Amino acid sequence: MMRAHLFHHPSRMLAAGCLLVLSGCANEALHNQLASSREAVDQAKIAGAAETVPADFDLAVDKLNRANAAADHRRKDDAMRLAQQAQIDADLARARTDSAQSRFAAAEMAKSNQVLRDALSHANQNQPR
Amino acid sequence: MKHVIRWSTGVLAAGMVAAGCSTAPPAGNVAAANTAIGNAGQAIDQAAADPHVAKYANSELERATDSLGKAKAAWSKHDLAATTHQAYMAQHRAALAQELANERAAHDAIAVAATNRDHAVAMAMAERHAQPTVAIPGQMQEALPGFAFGTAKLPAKAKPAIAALASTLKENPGRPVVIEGHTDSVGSPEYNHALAMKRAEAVRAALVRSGVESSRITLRAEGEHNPVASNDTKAGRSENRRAEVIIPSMEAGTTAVGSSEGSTSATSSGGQNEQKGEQRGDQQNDQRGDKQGDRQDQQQDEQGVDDRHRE
Repeated sequence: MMRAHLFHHPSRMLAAGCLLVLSGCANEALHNQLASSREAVDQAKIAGAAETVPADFDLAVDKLNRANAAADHRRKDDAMRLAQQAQIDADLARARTDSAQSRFAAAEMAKSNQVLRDALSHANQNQPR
Repeated sequence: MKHVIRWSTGVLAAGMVAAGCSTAPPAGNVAAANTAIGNAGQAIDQAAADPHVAKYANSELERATDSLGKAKAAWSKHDLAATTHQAYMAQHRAALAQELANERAAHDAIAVAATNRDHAVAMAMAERHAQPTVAIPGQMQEALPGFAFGTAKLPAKAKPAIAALASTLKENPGRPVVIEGHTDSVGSPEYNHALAMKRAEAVRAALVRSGVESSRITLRAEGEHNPVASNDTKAGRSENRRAEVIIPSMEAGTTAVGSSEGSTSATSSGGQNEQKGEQRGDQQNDQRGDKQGDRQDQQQDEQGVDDRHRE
């Protein structure tokens, strides 16, 4: 009854329509943000962030969960911010994982180079004459 | 009129109070915003100071700076939630920039290590392939003939051989060396013994100059006792006026070192004694002979080369 009364006036209908369009835009932006945050978390997981930097990874997952919860409760600003933070947290977790792995690889390579050099000079010195 | 003024002042005062209330945020919020913005600024400065960030993650750093700008703008409106959020984004984008740069730097290090490894392998292969010509097989002996008559000056044509010997010896650091000095049969045996020692010393000096440790070298004066050619001809005598560099075989070498140490000190001290006895008379002859000999030497060298060409 109340609702029907609300939309009787044309200007009110217009205003409501505008609100719907606006909130639709906002919903879409939030929806997209939540999707890319989810994607970032998934990529971090694939990179091995859960094992390499568990605290960073868990933070991203936690923020994504809270962002979804806030979206469910129509706290859009909170949801948007949490989702953005979840994305940067996930990106950082992934970058830290990648760089830790690269640094490990670089160190291993340097170590194996030393072993190789030692072995080669040893082999050359012990070569039968 | 008075009434109006009083009324308007009251409104003004109320407005000012209201404005004051809305512009002065709680002290806790100020501290939180300042800390958040401060931390973000610090993270950005730190990342900007890293040359790898400028090189590899500049766009991420720019986004961090952008977020910091948004945080400051939000705080100018005293929106604490937006301020801390944007500061958080700024700080973490700076950290991300740093981490991306670290990752690229590590990649560079891997590329360098790979190049170094290839280089090490290539060098070792080259060394290994080069070794058969360099390694000393068993005993090695090289004669350096052509000393000018009466002198211990190294013949010019011996220099390439000395250089080759020095490089071989340096690549075989474990091997001891014996240098023998020889003379032709002209002159007294004592004189020839001393001259032979000087010839050996001249070769040792040349090898040491080329980087061979003198501690590896043992000298022996053979004098005129071991000719390799007839002393009846000029060419034969030139062949006999020589030094010989001997690198004993490894097995013999190890035993020879022990035995040679005793015998060397005996020979060298004996040689020195003899030299002292002989030197006074000889040195003058030698020096004179040396200068004359230089010219003779060169002539002889050229002859020697010519002879070889003729052969």
